[in-house]
Amino acid sequence: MSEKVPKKLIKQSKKIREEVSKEVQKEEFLKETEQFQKEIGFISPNDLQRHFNI
Amino acid sequence: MEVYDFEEISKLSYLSSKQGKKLITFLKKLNSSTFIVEENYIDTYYMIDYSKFHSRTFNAPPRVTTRIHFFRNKPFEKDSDLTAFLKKGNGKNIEALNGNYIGFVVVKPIKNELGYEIIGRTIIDPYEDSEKQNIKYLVVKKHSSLYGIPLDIQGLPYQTQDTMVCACATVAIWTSLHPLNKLFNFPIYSPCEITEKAVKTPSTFRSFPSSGLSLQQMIYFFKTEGLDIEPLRIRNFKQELLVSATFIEDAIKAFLHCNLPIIATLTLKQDDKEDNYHAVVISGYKKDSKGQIKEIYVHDDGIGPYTETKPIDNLGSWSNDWLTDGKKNEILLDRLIIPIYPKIRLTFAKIHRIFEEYKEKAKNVEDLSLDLFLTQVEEYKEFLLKFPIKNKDKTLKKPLPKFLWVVRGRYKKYPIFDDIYDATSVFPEKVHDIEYVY
Repeated sequence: MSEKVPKKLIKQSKKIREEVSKEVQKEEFLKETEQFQKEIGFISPNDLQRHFNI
Repeated sequence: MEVYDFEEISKLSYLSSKQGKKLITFLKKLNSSTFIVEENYIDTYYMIDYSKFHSRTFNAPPRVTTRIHFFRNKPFEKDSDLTAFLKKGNGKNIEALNGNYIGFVVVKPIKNELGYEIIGRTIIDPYEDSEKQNIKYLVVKKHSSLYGIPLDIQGLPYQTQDTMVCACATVAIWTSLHPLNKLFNFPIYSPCEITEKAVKTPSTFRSFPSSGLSLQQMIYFFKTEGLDIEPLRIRNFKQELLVSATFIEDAIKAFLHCNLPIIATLTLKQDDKEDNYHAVVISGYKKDSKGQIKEIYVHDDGIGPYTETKPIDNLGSWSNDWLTDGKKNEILLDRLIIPIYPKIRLTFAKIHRIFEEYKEKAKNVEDLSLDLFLTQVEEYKEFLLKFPIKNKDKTLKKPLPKFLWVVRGRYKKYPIFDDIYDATSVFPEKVHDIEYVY
C-alpha cells in the first residue's frame, strides 16, 4: 500500500462504531425504525392498481 | 452480403425505430466499426412468443429473426474475410475476435405501430476501458455463437416492447430475470410467458394484446414464482418525497453491489395531460471523485439500454430522453422494487436507518467514507482473502449467514473496517466485524 491509513482515523472509526452499537439498541431507535419500515414498505390499494403501460 | 462497415447501419432498416437510433449512437460510442448480419436466427424468447401468440394470427409473421453482431477494430472488411476465418477457425483468432466483440441485437420480423422493426433480445457490453473505475454497470455473463464461433459477452439483456404480448412492466421484469437467474437460478421466461403469469391476478384491462401490468400483477409474478420483493416507497400520495437526501443513492449502490436488479416505477408528467406510469430497470451508475452518483443508467424499453439519466432532487426526479424527445415535463421516481430471495429478511429500510447513524456520527470526521452494501458470503470471503485483516484465518473459517449487509469504513480506496449484519435476520443483528491492517 502506497499511502498509510492515518492512525487517528482508525481510532475515530472505532469510537464511531461503538457509539452506533449503543445507539441502535435503544428502544426509541428501534421504534422509529419499525415506523420507518412501515412507511417505506407501504403500498396502498390505489398504488397496487396503478397501471404501467407506456 | 453479411459483413458491413458500421457506417452502413443507418442505410438498413433494422435499427430505424427511435430505440434503434439510440442503439446506433450507443454502439458508435463503443467504437463499433463492423457488423455482421446473421439471417434466419432462431431466438428462444421470440420463438416462445411466436408459438403462444404470433403463430395464431391470420397473417402470421416469420418465425425466425435476424441477429446483428457488432465488432471493434474491423476484424472483417468483407464477406470473404469471414469465410476465410471460418475455414481456419483456430483458437488464437477466436480469442482476438472476442476482444473486439461488442455484442448483438436481435431484430424481430414484426413491426411496431409506426412500421419500424421491433428490437428483440439485445446484449451489449457497455464498458469502455477508460471509464471502468467510476462506473458500475449491472451485467451478466452471456455467450453467443456465430456460425460456431464462440463469443463471450457481459451485458444486461434489453429489448423493446412487442405491444401484442407485453408493455414496459413486462419488459422490465424480463430484463431483471437475467441477473436473478445468475444469482438464484431463477428461470427466465419470454415476455409473453411473463405477461401470462402476471395477469393470472386479473385487472380490468385486456391481458392480450397487452395493455401493461398493474403493480399488483408485477408483484404477483415474482411472489408466485418463489421470490419476494423489497418495495421502497419514495413518494407519498401527494407526490412529496418521503426519504432522506441519500436514501435512493444508497439503495442503488447497495443492491447493485450484489448485482440485484432494481425496478423503478415512474410517473411521467406532461402539461395538463393525465399522468403516465412507466417501469424501467436501473442498470448502473457513474460516480464523481467524491464517490457520489452523478448519473444513473436505465434499461428503458422506450429509449434504449444503459440510457444516461441525470438525477434531480437527489434522484427523486430524473432527466433523460423522455424530457428532451418524449415531450414530457417531469419524470418522478415513485418506488423502487427489488426482487429478492426470500431469505433476505433484513430490509433495506431497517439497515439504512443504522447506516444513517454511522453517517451522523462520522459527519465531522475528515477522510472517512462509508459504504453500505448487500453481499453473499462466498463473494465476501473471496474479497477478504485478498486483504490483510486481523485474525484472518479465524474470520475466514467462521460460519457466516448466506446474505450479509456490510457497513464499510474507508480511507480513500482502502477499507478500514467492515461491520457485518445478518441479512437473513428479521431484526438488525451484527454478527461480526472486520478490521483491516496495513
